[in-house]
Amino acid sequence: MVTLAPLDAFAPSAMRDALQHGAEVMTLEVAENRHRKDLRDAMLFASTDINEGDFDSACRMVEIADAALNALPDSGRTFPDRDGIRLILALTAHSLDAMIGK
Amino acid sequence: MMTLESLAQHAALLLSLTALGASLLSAQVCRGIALETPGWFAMNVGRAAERATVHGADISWQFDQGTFLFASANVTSYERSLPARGHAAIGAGFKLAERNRFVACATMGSELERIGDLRVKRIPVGLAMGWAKPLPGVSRGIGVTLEPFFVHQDERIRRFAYTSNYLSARTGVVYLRRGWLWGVTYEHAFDADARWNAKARVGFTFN
Repeated sequence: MVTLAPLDAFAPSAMRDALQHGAEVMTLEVAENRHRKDLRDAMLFASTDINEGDFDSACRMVEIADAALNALPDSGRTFPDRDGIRLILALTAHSLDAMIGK
Repeated sequence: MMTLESLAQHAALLLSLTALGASLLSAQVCRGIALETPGWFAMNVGRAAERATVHGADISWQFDQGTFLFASANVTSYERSLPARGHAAIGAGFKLAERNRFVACATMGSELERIGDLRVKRIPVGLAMGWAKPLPGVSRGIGVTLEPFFVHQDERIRRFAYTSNYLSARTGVVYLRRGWLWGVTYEHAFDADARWNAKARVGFTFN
């Protein structure tokens, strides 16, 4: 996911609000199912982990959220929100990768 | 943590493995140790994937009828700001076949690993093959091992749980002299992370 957004490094804390918005608002249009719940919870966990400085767990949550996002039904109505969430996850992955280091 | 039910299942399987052993000859050659040695303890240090350092220890004890138990523990520390990886394992093996100085054993174990909030349980089932040869001189010998194994893995973090299976392999060389052992091992997991570690070992045998 890091390669989706080749940017200069920035702090993961900059993504906390975006993660919460993605989890609580951008998933509303998606039909209720297990993958939507996984996506929502994983993004909220990632936000909490970043807040607590637990970047390893935040990375794992971003991976889980990405897997859940990819498992969602491919409907045209939810495409903009799903694409927006994908961008949030990509940016979060980028910031975490920069924080943890290579 | 491992449940009582899964512990009981592992214990029952280990007992059945033990009952299958029929030979009085050493099974420890499977793990690179000479025939007359009842067991060993070794400390190890090495490197691992992601520029990590590994410290740990392992112990093994041999019983009659070609069976042996082993246990190990190690900690993997990363240069990057990642949590340390704590790993503990127990297992048992029994001899399947022997020809000249070559011995093959079946092994099975139970492993627990903790990486930050992530908990991983693994059940490796392997085929350990060893070749050991006494060397000229006083109580000297060398052993070579190769152990491919199949791993069933259960990962849990928060409310998320995933199971997966993968193949892994371990190889090593052990040199024994007057009750002391030195050796090197290399282990590689053929999973998505392609984890590996290479360790130098030093320890002593139980005589």
